[in-house]
Amino acid sequence: MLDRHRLLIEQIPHLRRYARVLHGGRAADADDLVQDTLERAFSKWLSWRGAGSVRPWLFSIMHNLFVDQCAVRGSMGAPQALDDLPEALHPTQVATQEFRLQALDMIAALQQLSVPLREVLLLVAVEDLSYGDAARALGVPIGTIMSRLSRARSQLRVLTDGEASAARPPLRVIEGQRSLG
Amino acid sequence: MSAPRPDRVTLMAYVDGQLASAHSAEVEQWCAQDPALAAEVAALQAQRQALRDALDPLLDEPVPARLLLRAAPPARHWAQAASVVLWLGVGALAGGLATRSFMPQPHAVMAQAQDEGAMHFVRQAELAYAVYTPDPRRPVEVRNGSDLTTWLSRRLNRPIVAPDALPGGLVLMGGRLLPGMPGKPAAQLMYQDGRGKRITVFLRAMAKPTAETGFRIVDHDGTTTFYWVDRDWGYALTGELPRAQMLQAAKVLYQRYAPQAQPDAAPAARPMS
Repeated sequence: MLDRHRLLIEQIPHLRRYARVLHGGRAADADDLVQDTLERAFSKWLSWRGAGSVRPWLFSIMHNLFVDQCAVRGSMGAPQALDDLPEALHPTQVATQEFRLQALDMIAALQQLSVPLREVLLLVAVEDLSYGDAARALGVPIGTIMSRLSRARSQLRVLTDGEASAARPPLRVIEGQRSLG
Repeated sequence: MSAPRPDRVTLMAYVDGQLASAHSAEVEQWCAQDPALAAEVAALQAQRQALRDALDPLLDEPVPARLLLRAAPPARHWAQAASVVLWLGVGALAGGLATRSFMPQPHAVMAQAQDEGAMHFVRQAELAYAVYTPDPRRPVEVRNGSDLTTWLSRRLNRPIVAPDALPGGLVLMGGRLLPGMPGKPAAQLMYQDGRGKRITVFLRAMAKPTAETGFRIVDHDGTTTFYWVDRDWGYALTGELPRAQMLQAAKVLYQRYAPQAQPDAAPAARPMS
């Protein structure tokens, strides 16, 4: 009994992270999606029956809910403009300012990928799903997973390399003042 | 070399850990003699790491209470399950729910209303345990230090004691503030033993004062909670350690929280199956 709740609770941070990136960083929308996912998971619990890991199953529920939402709003696949990157997505716990800037660049670049590419990249490279689990979660053949993954990585590399070469002035250490780090 | 030169899909699968070890070895052999391949693998690995570095901090954000509640069973059902155990007079139901403190007793039925409050308390303690003990990065909000108990005492408006060590090699890691009752926060202390096993102490004000003090034991799928209520305060020790060890730790805490009590006034443990 507690088992089920513990399994779900342990996955909440992962679900929130995935939802946050899907929703372009809008924390309230993301948490609404997580809440809907948890409710759906409860009502469909018997259909899971402990077959396999719970995380891919939860991601598939979330993916389907998100696709339904996008069908209503008509925004599926539309790349996010950089200006839409909200403060809420910015990680607050990173160790150094330089590291933080790198992280922000990466997150900003990620938002420019279409949702299908972003989803595959997150599930495989960040959430460690196998290609098979990712295919089941997203409801596409495994070959589609691999081709999307390849495209996502190429596009992301162009986006991040482009920013690196765009001559962002390095942060100077200002003597005599407390640094931000 | 017998294996064909790996293509990009194979390199990706290698980086993602999706190749069988024999195929991984082939990729590594190729990379050892083909700098372009090696550079491609390094770039893929670096990108993967950069993604994780950028997104992992999101895992550390505190989970909003509304989501925790979605993942929790409705309290009423939980209490009903407990009362079923009570009415059947069975110590353990097949299926894992075992509330041994509800063994049939003359006053058990009268105690039921009060027990619903206690069940809610235990459930909060179990949830807090389940949420924070697996966290490798930030299991506690404030590490053990001079200001831990000062901070918790001020926020809970009550002297909070946190022994640095408990029997069984359990060492205090720190604590955090949690939602408790409306207007009354709860505190969680976390201890870890030499093998990395963690237990938590959850404490907060109870809705209704009670005269009864006794260690009660609730088991859920391998997680054991010892709890006791001392007038208007509830204390719960939750973990997956052997019961005897948990009881020792609970007794020490009980003594520390009741300095005015007689040294031998520790409550007797309720039936230990």
